[in-house]
Amino acid sequence: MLQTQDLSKSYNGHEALKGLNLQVAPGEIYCLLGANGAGKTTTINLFLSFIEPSAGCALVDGIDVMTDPVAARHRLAYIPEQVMLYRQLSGLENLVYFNRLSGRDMAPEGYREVLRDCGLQADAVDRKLGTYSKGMRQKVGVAIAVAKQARALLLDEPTSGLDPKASNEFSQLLVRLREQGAAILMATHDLFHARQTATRIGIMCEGVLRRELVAHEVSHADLERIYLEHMN
Amino acid sequence: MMVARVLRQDWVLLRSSPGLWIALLLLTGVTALAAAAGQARLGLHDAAVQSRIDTAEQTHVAVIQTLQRWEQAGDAAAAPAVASPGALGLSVLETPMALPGVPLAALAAASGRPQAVSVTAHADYRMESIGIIENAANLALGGFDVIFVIVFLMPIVIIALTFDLLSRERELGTLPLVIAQGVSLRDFVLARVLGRGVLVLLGMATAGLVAILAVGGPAALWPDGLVWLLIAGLYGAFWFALALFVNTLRLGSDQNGVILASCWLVLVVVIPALVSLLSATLYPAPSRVLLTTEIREAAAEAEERAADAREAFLFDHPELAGGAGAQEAYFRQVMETERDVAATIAPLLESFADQAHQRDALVNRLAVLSPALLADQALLSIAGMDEARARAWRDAVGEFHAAWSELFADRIRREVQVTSAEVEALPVFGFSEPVGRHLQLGPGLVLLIMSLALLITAVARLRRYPIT
Repeated sequence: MLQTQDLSKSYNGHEALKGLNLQVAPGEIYCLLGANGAGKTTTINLFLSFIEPSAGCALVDGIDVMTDPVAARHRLAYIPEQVMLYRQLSGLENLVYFNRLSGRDMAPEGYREVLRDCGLQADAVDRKLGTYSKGMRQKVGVAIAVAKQARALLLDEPTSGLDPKASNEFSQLLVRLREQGAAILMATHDLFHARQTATRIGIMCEGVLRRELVAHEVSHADLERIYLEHMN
Repeated sequence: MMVARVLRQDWVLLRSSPGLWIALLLLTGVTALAAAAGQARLGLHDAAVQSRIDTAEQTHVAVIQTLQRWEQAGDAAAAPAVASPGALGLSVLETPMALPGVPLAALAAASGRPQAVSVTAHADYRMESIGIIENAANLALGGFDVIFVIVFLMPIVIIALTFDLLSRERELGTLPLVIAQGVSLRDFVLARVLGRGVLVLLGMATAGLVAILAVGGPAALWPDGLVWLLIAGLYGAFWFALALFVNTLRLGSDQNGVILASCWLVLVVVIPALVSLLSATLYPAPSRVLLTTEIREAAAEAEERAADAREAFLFDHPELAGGAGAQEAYFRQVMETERDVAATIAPLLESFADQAHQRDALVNRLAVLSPALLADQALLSIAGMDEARARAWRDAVGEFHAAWSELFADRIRREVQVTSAEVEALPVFGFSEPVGRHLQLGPGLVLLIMSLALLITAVARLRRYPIT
C-alpha cells in the first residue's frame, strides 16, 4: 500500500534521506524510530508530495505521488505532530469541514460518533477550537483521519502532547484501524508506544534506514538497546 | 468539481468571518451613498439648466407674440425693440443647452464635469457656462461618486480580504492538513479567490445594479449598465489576481499586506498623479491670466478702432448722430468689436484646445501603466462624462453658435428687422453621440490581459509553493 523505491531527498547539498526502500502492507503498522533529523518527517512529507524527491519515488496504492499527487492523497490520511485547525470553528465544524473537503460526508450524528470514538469529551464537541488543549486538538486531528476512511495513514509524532491515557486510547484506535486493513506509517520518538502498537519497526539514522524489526519479536529492553546502538 | 467542493467549504469559513461582512456592507453602503450623491448633484445641475431653458422658451414665445402683434397692426413705424436683430440677438434671445444626459451619468457626477452653456449672438468667447455653485466641501475633499468607490475603495476592500489568502493558512499550520485531504493547492487557492471575488463583485454588482436602476431606470441596463459592471468586474479581477500573485511570493501575511498596500498606492495614486504631471509638463495649458489679459487688451483695441470708425462716419454723416440708426450702429459696433476680439484671441484659444487634446491623448496612451487609470477612463466614457464626448459636444455647440450668430450678424449688418416667422424658424441645436462609447473594448481587454497574466504566473508559482 505504501512503498518507497530508493527514495532520496537533499536540501542544499545536505542529504536528508538516502535511498530509502520500505513497504507497508494493508493491515500493518510500521513505526519509524529515530532522532531529530533522521529523515522520518521527510519521508512522510515525500509521501504527501509536500516536497519533491531528489531521486527515487514514493508510491501509494501503486500511484507515484509525484505523478498524481491528488489521487495519492485521496488514499491517505495524515495526522501531523501539531494538529492545527480553524480556531473560529468548533471541533465538530472542523471535522465536517475537513471531511467534506476530502469529498466525503456523513450524517451529523456520525461525525459526533467519530469524535466520541476518538476520545473527545461530548461537551467539547461544539465548543470553539480556541478553548481546546493540544491533546483535544490532536483528537480532532485523529477524528479527521478516521472519518476519511483512508486506506493508508501517515502519522508524524501523533502522540506528542497527549497524556498517557489519551496516548493509550490512540494506540488502541490504531490497532482497530490496522485490523480493518489500513496501512499505517508512523514516525515517532516513543519507543514504548512503537513497541506496543507497531507490527514492524524501522530505525532511521541520518537519512538511512539502519534496521528493520518485527515488533513482537523484540522485547522493549532489546528495542531500546538496538535503538541506542544505532544512535551512538 | 474540486473547486466547487472547496468553495462550499470555504463558505463555512467566510460565514464565520465578521470582518468580511462588515467590509462588504461598508462597500455596498458607500456605493449606494455615492450613487445618491451623484444623482443629487446632477439633479441640481439639471434643475439649473432646465430653469434657464424654461425662461428662454418663455422669452422666445413672448418675442414671437410681440412680433406677430406688430405685424398684424401693420404699423412699420411702431416697431417693437425685439424687431431689431441687434437687440434680439445680443440682449433678448438665448439658447441654453446641456450635454445630453446619459443614463449612468450620475455614477460619474464628480469625476466628470456636466457641460451646459447659453448660446447668444455674442462671440463665442462670451458664451456663458451654466452650472451650480460648487459645494465648498466638494472642492476641498474632491469628487465622491461611484467611479471613486470602484477605482479607489474597492481595491482596498479586496486587499483586506485577500492579503493573507494563502500565507495565513501556512502561518496557522492548517495548509498541510487541507492539502492532505486530497485537494490540489491550485484548486484550493483558486476556490478561495473565487469565493471572495464572487462575494465582493456580487456585493458591488448588487449595489451597482440598484444604483444603475435608480439613476437610469431599466433602460440603463443595456448596454451601458452591463458594460459598466463588466469593466468594474475586470478591474476587481485584476486586484484579486495581484493579491494571489503576492501570496505566492512565500512571504508572511504582514509583508503581503505591505506589498499590496504599496501596489495600491503606486497604481491608484502615484502613477495617475505622475501621468497627470507628465502630461501637464509636456503640454502645459496656456495661462488663464494671459487669456484674460489678451481678451481685455483686444477688446480695448477693437473698441478704440470702432470708436474711431464711428467718429469718422459721423463726421461724414452728421445728420445720423443720435438718430434712429444710432441703436443699430451700436449693435454693429458691439458685434464688430467682439469679432475683432475673437479673431485676436482665436490662436490662444486654439492653443488651449490643442494642448488639452494633446494632454488627453498622452494620458490615454499612458493609461496602460495603471489599471486604475484604465478603469477610470472606461467607466467615465460609459457614463458619458469623458472629455472626448464633451469635446464633440463643444464642437457641435460651436457650429450651432456660428450659424445662430451669423443669422443675427447678417441682419445687423444689413439693418433688416426680424419677423415672427424668422424667430419661429431659428435653428435648433442637435448633437450626434460619438460612436462606440459603450464598447470600451481596449481598456476591458487590457484589464483582462493584465489579470490573466498575473493569474497564470501565480498558478505557475504555486507548483513550487512550500506546503510545510
